[in-house]
Amino acid sequence: MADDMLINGLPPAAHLVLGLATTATPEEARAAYLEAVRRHPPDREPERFRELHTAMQAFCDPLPLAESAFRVPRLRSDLKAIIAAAAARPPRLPARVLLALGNVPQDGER
Amino acid sequence: MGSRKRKNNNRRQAQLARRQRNRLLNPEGWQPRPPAEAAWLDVAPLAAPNESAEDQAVFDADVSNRLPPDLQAESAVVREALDLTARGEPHAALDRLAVIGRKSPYADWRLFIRGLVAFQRGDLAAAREAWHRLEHGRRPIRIATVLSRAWEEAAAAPSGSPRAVVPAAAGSAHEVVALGLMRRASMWTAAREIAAVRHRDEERTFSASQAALAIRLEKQFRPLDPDFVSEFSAACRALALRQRDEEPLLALCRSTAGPADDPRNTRLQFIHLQRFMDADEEVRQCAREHVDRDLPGLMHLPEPLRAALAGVTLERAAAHLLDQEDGFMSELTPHEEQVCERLLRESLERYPRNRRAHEALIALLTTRGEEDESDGDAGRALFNAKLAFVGFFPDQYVHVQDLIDRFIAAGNFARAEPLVKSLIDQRTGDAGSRSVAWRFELLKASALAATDDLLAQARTALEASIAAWPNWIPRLWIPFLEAALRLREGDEAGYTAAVDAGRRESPDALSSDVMLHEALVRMKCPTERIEPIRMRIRQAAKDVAIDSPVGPLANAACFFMELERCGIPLDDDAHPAFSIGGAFARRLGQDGKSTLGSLIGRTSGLPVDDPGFWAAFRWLANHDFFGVVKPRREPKGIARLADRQPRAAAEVLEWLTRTSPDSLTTRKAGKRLTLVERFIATEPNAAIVQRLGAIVTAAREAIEEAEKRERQTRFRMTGRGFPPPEYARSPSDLPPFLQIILDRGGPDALAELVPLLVGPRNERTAKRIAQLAARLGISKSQMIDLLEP
Repeated sequence: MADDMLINGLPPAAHLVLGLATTATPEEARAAYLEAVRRHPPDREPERFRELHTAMQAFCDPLPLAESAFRVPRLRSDLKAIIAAAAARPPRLPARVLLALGNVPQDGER
Repeated sequence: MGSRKRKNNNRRQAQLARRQRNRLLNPEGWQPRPPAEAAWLDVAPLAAPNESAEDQAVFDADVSNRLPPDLQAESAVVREALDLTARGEPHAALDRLAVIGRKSPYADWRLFIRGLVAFQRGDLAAAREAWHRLEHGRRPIRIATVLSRAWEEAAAAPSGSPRAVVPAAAGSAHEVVALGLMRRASMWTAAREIAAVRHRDEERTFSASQAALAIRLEKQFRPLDPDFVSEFSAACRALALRQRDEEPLLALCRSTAGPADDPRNTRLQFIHLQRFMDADEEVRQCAREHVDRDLPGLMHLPEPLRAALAGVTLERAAAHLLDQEDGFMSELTPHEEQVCERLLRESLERYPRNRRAHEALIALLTTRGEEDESDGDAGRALFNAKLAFVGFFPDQYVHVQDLIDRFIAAGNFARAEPLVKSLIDQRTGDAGSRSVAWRFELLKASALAATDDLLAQARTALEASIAAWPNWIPRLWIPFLEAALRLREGDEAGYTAAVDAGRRESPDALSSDVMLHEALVRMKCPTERIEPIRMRIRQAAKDVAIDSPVGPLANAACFFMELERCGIPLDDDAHPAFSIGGAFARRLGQDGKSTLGSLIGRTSGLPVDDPGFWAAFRWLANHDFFGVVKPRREPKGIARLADRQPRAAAEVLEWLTRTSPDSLTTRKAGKRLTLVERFIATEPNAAIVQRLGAIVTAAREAIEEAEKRERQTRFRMTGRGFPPPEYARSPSDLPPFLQIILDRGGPDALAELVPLLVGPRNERTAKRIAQLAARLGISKSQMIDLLEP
């Protein structure tokens, strides 16, 4: 997570993780955080909880997050390993393309 | 003729090669040709005959508008969730779907998207687990079937060659599309071409041609696989950042998209530029571009994060200038100072909770404040900067204390009070902070006692001070303070009674006088009452003889040390404390000279087990009573003790580490270190072990540093101004005469000669140099010619 952050920029901003508007107040953030933790308790979804917790911390004081953006980016692995890892997972498809994959074959198609 | 044809042909070939090279080096001008996969993205969902209106509504707004409002809302949720999944926000997508009930016609879509999230994670088993419950004949199961079949086929036949772009095994048109998209054959070919490049030069990590290919890949394939392209481009930029040649990095920064919070890679260029000491103008331009042009447009980031990014950018730009000052040991020009100050102030305006920016601004203003002794604008600016700092960071107790002192000095107790409270609440381990309430009330009493009308308030403050009296400060001072205030109130009888009470408790007459003197000064008593006591103290200092007891002097010096430790300094150079200090230092210097102990090789009876004695020793050391000439030497009495007694050895080592680390390189200091280390090994008291351990570690580090400095100094003193061989990066960095030695005798000869050059010049050294010269076949006169500048 930390290395990904260093290569690919900042992690998803707190408001995205918590499902908030960019103009959300601290009270709204706190309410959203508590609701999200209720839905994703740490004992069942530790990864998700950590993400929520980091997001809440970043919402309260974004300075550490901003400072981390100024570290010299580090490589987690070399280019070949990045290609291999990406080839092992399917790509994200635009919703329009995805929905088109459910088209019924036309006459003449197999 | 044939020759001319060949020449023309060669010229044309060279021209073509040059054009090809230029095209690689100027990727911005190159127009991407869309790969086969790009066409596959240009598809649209079409309604099947008899397809349910609910399924059609997901991609057809007209159909959606004809649905009842509740289903209309649910179809919108499904579409939004699909879009979120496509944007790489799976958690948000799943959260949105929570509103769809189990019996809703859109429950199938909820299940499908859950499987889709697992599928995109690469977890096909989990995806199938969700998808196998989908209802037959509907669109979700058709998409799921096509996706899983295409992924299986793509994984079974990994694409290695461009031929694999056309999926042969696929059936219907959309299955062909799915397989092509899953395989992404031409993208892998392009990426592998970049990754396969090997560099002959070890320092090169990413070449210009690689950068050109990476830019092509970005332009061609981003729509096909945005995740991979983002990660790959970012990795290319990180590689390009590692090398000296900046062209590939700058090309990548210009032509590839950065992460969402730095889309134009301005921040990356800023990080790159910060490494160059002479790039302060470019660093500032880059910072301004990021702050003024990039960040305001990043509306998808919350405002506090944008403010923090702006604040850090400006603070780093200022730090670049300030680091430059440290690097070259040169001072900033007034203009550069102003630029730094402006950057730091703007940084704090944008994000005030930035500790480093506050510290940098205070450091900058402190330098200027020191020059401005008249407490003018610079002094006020520094005061305001500190006030702003502690407003956001009340844990900065050094600054808080400083501000409290300023407020007290100005008689502004109301403004000092909240700062005192905040310091008490923090409960720091620092002696100054722990005694802050006591000190504040005492200084307040002292300030109020200057005015006759405020004596009642002064008494209240003194009583509050006595109530907050710290444990480690002797309470023996209290009756003298009481006495001084009584005198100030005009109560002679009360004064005499309180002084008598104080003298009865006090261990000796000198201590009584010292404490009474300090109390009278603090409570602003008349000079004619202070002067006789001052004279008495000075006389006592003059009367100290070779055999005078050390106890009273140590008690007095310990009292001064405690005052200073709590932030009550003895500012006045004419303070009788300094007469006592001088006498005490003299007495320690003569200690043992006339006693029987010295004749049989023992030290006199210094109270070495009394912590107060060592506090007094530290006070003397802090005020340079043992001399300022380096290398520093402790008084003889203490030196004798330090050779035998671990506690004394540790105290001397601590003092020398702090004030004169070069004095630690002697053999005597080494012996003392060993003495303390042996003591630590057997000492059961953990607190003592910790303290002495810290002293030993600091001393060892200081010795290492001092030896390194000494080595360098000796080399410079040979008059050649070259770096010692261990710092030379290559043999060519060595001066010519050492290169000759290296050529003749190799590294071993060099290693043998260097200590001889660095060490003391004596007959033995000369003999060894002569032997080495003979071994290397160099005559003695040649050797002398080589060694002498």
